[in-house]
Amino acid sequence: MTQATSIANEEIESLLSRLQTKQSVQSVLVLERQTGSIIRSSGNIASRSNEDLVTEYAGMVWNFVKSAEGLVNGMNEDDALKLLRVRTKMHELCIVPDPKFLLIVIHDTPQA
Amino acid sequence: MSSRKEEILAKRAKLEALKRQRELRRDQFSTSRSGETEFASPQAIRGPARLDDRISDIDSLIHEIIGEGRPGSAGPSSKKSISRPTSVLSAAESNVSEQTSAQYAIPHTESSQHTVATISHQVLTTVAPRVIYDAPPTATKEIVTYSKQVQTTESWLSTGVGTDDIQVDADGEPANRSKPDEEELKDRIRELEEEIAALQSREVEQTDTLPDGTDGSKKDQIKVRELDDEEKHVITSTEEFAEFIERSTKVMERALDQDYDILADYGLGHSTTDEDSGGRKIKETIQFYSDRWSKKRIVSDIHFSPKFPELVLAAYTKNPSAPHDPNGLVQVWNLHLHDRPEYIFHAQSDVLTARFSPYHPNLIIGGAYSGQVLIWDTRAKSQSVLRSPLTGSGHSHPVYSVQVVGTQNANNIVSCSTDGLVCGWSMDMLANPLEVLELTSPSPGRNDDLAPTCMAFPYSDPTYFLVGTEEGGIYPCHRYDRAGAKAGVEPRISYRGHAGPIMAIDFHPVKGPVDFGDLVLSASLDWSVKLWKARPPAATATAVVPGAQPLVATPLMDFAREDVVYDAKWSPVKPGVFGLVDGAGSLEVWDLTVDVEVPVAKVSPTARAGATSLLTRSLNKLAWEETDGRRIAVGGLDSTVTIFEVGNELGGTEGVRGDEWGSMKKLIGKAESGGGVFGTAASAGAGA
Repeated sequence: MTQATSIANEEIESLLSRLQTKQSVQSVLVLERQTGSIIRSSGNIASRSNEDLVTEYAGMVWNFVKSAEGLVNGMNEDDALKLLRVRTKMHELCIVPDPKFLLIVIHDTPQA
Repeated sequence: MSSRKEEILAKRAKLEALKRQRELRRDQFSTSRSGETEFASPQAIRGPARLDDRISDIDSLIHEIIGEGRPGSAGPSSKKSISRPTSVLSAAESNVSEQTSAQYAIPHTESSQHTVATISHQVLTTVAPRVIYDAPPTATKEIVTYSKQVQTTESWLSTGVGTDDIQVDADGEPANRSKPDEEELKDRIRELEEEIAALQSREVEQTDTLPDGTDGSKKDQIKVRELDDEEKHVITSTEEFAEFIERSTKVMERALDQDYDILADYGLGHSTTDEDSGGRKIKETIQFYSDRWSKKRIVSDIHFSPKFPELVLAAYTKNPSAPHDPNGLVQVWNLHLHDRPEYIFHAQSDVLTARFSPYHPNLIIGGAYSGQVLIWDTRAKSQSVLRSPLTGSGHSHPVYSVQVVGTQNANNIVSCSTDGLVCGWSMDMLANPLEVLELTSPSPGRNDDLAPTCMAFPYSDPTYFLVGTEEGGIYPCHRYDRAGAKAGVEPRISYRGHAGPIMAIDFHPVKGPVDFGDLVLSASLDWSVKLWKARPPAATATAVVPGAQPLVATPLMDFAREDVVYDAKWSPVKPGVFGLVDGAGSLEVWDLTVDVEVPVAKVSPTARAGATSLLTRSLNKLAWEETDGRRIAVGGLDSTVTIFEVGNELGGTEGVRGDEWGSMKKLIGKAESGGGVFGTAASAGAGA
């Protein structure tokens, strides 16, 4: 059991670190869907040893996802949120929502 | 007393002035209303300081408009009474000083009674919103009016103006205002009020956030916190979490790998990069390589998914330096997911061949060095869902070729191992083969064993196939007994021409006006690719007298190359186009309708960074993307799968020239009659 979970953990680590090492990626966040609690954070926002920033970001993203969810549910009860991409002038936020977790990646937009 | 009179006089004068002013303003309103609104917004934006002005402005406006239209209308007066509760009071106050200004006082009281009387009506109309946003200004106003005794004059005046308004309204000068106009005005007022409301709320926000910026984040902090290590561990070690990460990172990487910028603005100046000028160009698009899994493995087979053109599978041999990893590996790569395979499948032994089932988009069929035939399912985990046993009636030698033959409703797997055993399998059960066929060499005096290295079925007939062998011969085989011929190798005909082992055979995939279904390409280690015309099995069965010397067919065309050729495949869309890969590491694309001597295009995949020696350049396999023939995937010794995109003249369904089929037909006719025209004489000699 412990071995199996450690292997799984290793795999998770490698998947996330690969994501993090992608060229344009700045930060990776994993949140809990229900409470917005931070499960993992890495990259720019985390490395500045500024915990407030991470929690602030997490809070903002979580609120955003929540309202997006409200929008989707408001339009159709049976519908569900699958992917959020927010493009800004400087970055892009990709959010993959799941019933239990949220994966958030902040990355630079490709220069056209 | 005289001073008092003076004061009153002064007030009168002031009132006159005010009246005039008001007149003026009214003109302004009636003439340039729209201008006013436009003007209003910048003024509003300037800050909360202006807000009160704005509100009072609107108040008076409302008075003017609605009050005039309907003298008793509740809206304005209630507003008045709420926003400036002084109006009634001051009216009463003015009654006290009535003796001098009776002319004003009388209408005054009237009007104030009006207001008092109509307050109750008012509630019905639009009280609620007004109450909300008028509340804050009230407070400030009150302070101004009551805190200073000296300013009673002003307060008196201001109420005077107010009452004056009403007075005029009551007097009924409103005749010149039409109803629709009034409604329009009401709309405008509503707009303005909304504007103010928005402004106020913004103001509130500002006051919320500006003075103590932590306020907003404080709220978040209550909800969001960083879990401590123990909690994190509990969550991250759940299966659920692992699954989520697996799934979501895949989605994320696809999103990140999407090169196309959907926000691209083509209007902006872009440097005109080299657009492929010729339709015969080949462009390298992606290379697939995974450090974890691909390392030191040789690509043994490649196949594009017929259902999802972006998926391409690659089969790999073992990694000699990683004994703990499974020997056999199949990775399914996605053109939209650049540095990670979509799926990974394992096998106990080197996978030598693998392909998607054309009839089951989820199933992948493979053949292993151990002789196993395996089926993987993309819906399942990395282990195969079905595999044939190592012992028993199946293969006990390496399986270099598997095919799925039949139709949507009736299909089988046919596999072929190097000991000459051909097995047919059901898709649902690999415990035992449905049919077993042992191929033996037809010509007496030779080694009895036949060692097939590859196998190909014509697209029209699932009962007959060609096998290429290690000694260089190509033999037709029947799967079943048929009139005049037993199941197994057809003894009366063989295709000889190659001096080395055959590495690949490919039937022409006809999808056009002319039937080229009998054209066969073969690639061999004797540094050549040959084109054959396969005789239909029925013809050979009747035309040849039993006991006669076996007929030896010679190739129609011979393409001598500069290195060993490992694979050759027809384009799925263009009648005269095929691709080949060789031991020197180049991919060549030929178009027989253009040139039969030299390839129309030749490229080599870029060497992977860190690739060590020249020996690893060799390419092993090639696959065309089946739906529109635009992409070619190649792979070889350096464990990398490289995808090329071909130009319009070599691939793509829309670019097919009408004369291609015709000229191909002419060419084949010429080759059939002319024999040696294309240099087949030499190879025929070699074959004999």
